[in-house]
Amino acid sequence: MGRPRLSLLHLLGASALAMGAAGCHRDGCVGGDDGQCVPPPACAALAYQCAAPKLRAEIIGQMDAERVAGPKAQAAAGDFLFENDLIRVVIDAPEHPHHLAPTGGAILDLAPITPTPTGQPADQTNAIYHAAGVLPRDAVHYDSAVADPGIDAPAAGAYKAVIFRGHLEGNPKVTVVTRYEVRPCEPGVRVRTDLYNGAPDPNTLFLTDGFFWGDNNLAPFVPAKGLGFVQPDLDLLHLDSAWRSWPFLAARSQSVPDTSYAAISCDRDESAGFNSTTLTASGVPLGVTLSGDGFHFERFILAEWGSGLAPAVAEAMHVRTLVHGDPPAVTVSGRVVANGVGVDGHAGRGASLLFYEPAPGPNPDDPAGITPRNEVVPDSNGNFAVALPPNRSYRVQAYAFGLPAAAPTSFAVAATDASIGDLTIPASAELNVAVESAPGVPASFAELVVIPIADPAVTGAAVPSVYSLFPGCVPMLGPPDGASPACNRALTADKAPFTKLLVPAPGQYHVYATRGPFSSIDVADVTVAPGETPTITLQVQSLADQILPQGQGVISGDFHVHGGASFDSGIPDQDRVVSFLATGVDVVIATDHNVVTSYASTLAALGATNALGLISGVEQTPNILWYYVPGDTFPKTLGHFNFWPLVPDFFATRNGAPWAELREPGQLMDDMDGLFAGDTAGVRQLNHPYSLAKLGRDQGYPKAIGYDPRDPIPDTPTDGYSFAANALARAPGGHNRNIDWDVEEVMTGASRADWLRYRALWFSLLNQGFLRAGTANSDSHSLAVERIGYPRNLIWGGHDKTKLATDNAELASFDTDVRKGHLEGTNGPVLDVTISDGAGKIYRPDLTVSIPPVTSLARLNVTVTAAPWIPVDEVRVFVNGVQKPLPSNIKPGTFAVNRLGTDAPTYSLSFSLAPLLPAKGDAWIVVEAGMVQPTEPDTDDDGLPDLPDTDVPTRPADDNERFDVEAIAPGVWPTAFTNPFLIDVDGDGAWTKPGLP
Amino acid sequence: MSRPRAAILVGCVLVLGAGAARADLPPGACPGPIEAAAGPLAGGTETYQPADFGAVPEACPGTDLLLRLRGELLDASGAPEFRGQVTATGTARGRRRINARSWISVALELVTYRYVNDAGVASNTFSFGPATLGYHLVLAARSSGALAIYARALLPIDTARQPGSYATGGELGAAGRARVGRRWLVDGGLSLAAPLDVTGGQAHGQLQPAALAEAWFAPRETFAVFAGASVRFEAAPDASLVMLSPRIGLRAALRHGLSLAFLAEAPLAGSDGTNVSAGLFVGWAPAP
Repeated sequence: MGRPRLSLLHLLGASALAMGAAGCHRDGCVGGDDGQCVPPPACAALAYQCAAPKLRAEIIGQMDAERVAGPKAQAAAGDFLFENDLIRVVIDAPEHPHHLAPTGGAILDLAPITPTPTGQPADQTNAIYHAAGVLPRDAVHYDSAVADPGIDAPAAGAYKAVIFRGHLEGNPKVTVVTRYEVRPCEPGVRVRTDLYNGAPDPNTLFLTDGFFWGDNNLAPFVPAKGLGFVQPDLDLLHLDSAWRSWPFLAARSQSVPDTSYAAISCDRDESAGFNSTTLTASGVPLGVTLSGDGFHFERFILAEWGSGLAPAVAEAMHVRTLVHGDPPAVTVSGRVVANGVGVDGHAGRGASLLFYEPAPGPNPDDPAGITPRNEVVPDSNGNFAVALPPNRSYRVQAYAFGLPAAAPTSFAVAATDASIGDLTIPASAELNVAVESAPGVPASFAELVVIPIADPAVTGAAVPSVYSLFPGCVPMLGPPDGASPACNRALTADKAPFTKLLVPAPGQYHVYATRGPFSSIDVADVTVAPGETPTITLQVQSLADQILPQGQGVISGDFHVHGGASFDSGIPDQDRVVSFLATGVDVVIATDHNVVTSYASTLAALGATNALGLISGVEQTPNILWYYVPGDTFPKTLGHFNFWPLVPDFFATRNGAPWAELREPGQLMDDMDGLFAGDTAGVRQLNHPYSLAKLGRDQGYPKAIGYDPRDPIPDTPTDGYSFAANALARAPGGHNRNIDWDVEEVMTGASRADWLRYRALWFSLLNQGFLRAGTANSDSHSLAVERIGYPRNLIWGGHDKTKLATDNAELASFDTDVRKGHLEGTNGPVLDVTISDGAGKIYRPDLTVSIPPVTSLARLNVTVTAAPWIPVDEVRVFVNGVQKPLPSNIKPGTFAVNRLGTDAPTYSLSFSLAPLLPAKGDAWIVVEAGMVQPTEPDTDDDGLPDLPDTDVPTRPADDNERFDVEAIAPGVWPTAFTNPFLIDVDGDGAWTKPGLP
Repeated sequence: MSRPRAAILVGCVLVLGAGAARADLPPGACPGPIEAAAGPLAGGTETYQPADFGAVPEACPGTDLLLRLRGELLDASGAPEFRGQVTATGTARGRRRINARSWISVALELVTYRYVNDAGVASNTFSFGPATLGYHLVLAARSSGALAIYARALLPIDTARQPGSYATGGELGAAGRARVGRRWLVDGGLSLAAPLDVTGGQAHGQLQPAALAEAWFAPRETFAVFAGASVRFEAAPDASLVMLSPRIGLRAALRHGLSLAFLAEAPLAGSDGTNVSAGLFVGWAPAP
């Protein structure tokens, strides 16, 4: 036999063989979507068995009550539902987009079925959607979905599946086909996505699952060096600095229902991407995909019930063993004790444990060098069991109240389960707090606030966090965005005589009880040692009868609140409603992001239906960047508008809210026309106009388009006006202009700096004749991060809050008063301002009534009242946006003198009106009262005042008049403002806009 | 013309050409051993013209080796595209003269480096392949020029592709050369490339006609500069302009059979967003 020679013929033959071999093997849809291809099942190596396999799949029908428990559940008619013994998963239909996804085809609900206290599966996911990059054009757009009937259980190989077909949003030549499959006995869903690059260019097609955590809910975790819960800073312009790889991704909830999740790649040893509390992208490692090339991505996404991360991590490690051949995990057990007694983990608040491989080098606890592996929460007896990779050395760090609770302990494990015995931490203390409205009379609902007596900023005390996430609460009695206790606050209800509150010990605390700004406060200073259980009784009393204008039918309302249905909130509905009641607000408008909600059933369950007026609404909150502003590098999102009243349709996607993406504000308003409850006109509210963008997503419309309040706005787009001014004047859908909102948030949350900026816009619009009522809302997302009812509105008109949810006429009347500006905004002080014409006629603020020319007898009458703990130093009068000097003002020492008292101070002023008015032209007048607020300079020449950093409210000295305010509502700068009076100064019979200065 | 008839015509041309292959070329029809204006340089982009696939070749036979270093830049980093691409390749090509009028060519991408940035999500990779194998035949020659036809195959060797995925294809074309003055010469040709991607068991083919025309100016026999343009279309499955690109370059014949050449292209229009590509060529031909 001669020596083999590589000839051209050999080469061609080998090539042909290779081509033939590859060509004969049809691999799902990685070669493109021909409409017939079907991806094979993902994760073939997975094998689960159980005694009584269950499996069902269906397309949710009209009027099917198929939602799982929890405010995150948003399944709607037409969505795809799969359920087995362990989980229920809902994939939204292609025509049902949510959040960042341009279409459905995402995991909308994923809930473990293991019994919860309510016996229902409970969902904590916003959405898990697909993308092949980070820009909106890289998101996957699914056009169609077809259910695969599969094989019914209990037959061998039982499965149910659905196939979604689509492409990248910005490139239809890049096809994407995804198969979701659920099998009996499996704690998750198998997902395989086939991508084909039919575009002419090679590309970095980072096919990924986008886990949209939404900032304030689940805490994501990746077991990799220097990571765990720690996340590199995420900067969209420098993604490479945040890019990491990991064997699996896991996440745990901050709040009940306690749920954890994990995602494990099946066809790649590791996943890669970036990890943040807003969004985690966990996908294929980066690589160049040539034109005409394709690949698949298989993963298993699972859900587990229980506190902490450990349930999901244990299952993720099991999956890796099955799929990648990892050595089976070992279970390490033990007990957390204090004074020899097992410590109840209290869902991680009282105790939790972080297990990690030590860092190399002299410091085994160097955060940059450790490799976190798992986190576990002890049960009520302090016992724990945690899965860890075998044959390694570990350290375990005990945490309590967001801080390390003891020195780390080292141990090693072999290949078998092991016990590490007892881990000792200091005992905490337990406060037993009773809140009364009068001696011996339990207060219906109240809020407790705990702050350390010594200022942490002075003592340099460590700042608690959830393993570095969500820092800022001192003490951290619970995760800041979770259920009560959250951050340093807790809710009380009259059903229990005492609220038991675990606090770090030893410690010295001010313990406040509060029921909102129109009630007195009480505070007790306590010093606790470990294991102590002192009892405290605090009394808070409603002062509304003293503070609110009497006989005028004034009620208070917060027109901007969020609950767990919002993607960026984790607070359970019950705590959300109790927080409404505890702060003493009369009316709440539920304005969750992109979903219409109602708390009626929760309110009813609390037996408090008549204690609160509930109106359903929505905050239309786009997440997809699309709108280009000249001169800006990146596209914008335009939105954050509230709309109410709406009627939630719990069988419809987003409960009936229109899709908020790729719309200008005028179009958002067009979308709402006809949707308002009872055919009322509804209210359209511009929210936080100059709020900063969050991870590229703009939150304030004027900020997004770059509107400078010094620029005039035309009635219709006109050459010569600024881009932003013309954008405001546009009617993009042909009906409503972008500026046609009814009311504007002048005050949102506690930020003093934002209030001044929003006020500048409001004054500019009023000067230009765009008469919009000013509102004040909390934009609260949790118990702690924004305080419900700070600020709020006082609405005139004699409305019956108990009828707002049921009586359309009452609702329409209420909204009419809001649109007309029959309201004031306040975070504490209360103004009662009138104009008397000297002839017996009294006027109140009204955007639809022009006050006739005034005589020398006309007077501006101002009465200021506030709870005794709220300081008020001055009254300010603005005429056409200019603050006028006043002949007299509030006498120093009137307010915040006896701060724990129950007598609300009042101060009245009256001024001759004529000297305040301009010599020619007409005028509008707004009156404010509160702490001293000078006119701040515009240091960056953007037309907006800039509050110096030194004026940002922080914790003041103990004897400062604002000390209690800062404790109860951090950042609040007590202020009240009226809506405008319109004065026809020149007497021409009509009010004429004064114009910009 | 129906497909069978076209196939018969092509077959006849090849048979007739093979018969004429042994006939010597007339003097002046093709460049001399040290002549710089020796035919088009393979340009284009790696996406459409890997190795020398789809590139109009020389119209004259020869035996030589060529090493090409090619770089491409696509910069669309601003709004709204936010993307960029850098490609660098090292290509070896060899020609072997079979007889007076025919020759074969083999080209191989020795290494390809790609960097692709999609809005900050960046990847890069080194790869080996693909390769081409071509057969060329001078159909007509006279003292002022020559006309050749060729057939080329894209060989499915490319480590940049996913397992189970390969790209192959065939190409037919014609190349011409005409001396139009003592120092002036024009060349160019037509190419009809049919790349075929086979991925996951599915095949996706394209038909890409292209044309090249360029003029050479040789102030000396051993040094020449050229300028011209190429155009490439996608005829199927979609009809579109892929690239319209002017090109300039030079070639110098050095001692010992070595040559050095440079080619720069700056696409003006088309779906290929490449801003600029440039190639440096080092050639060697044995003494005749």
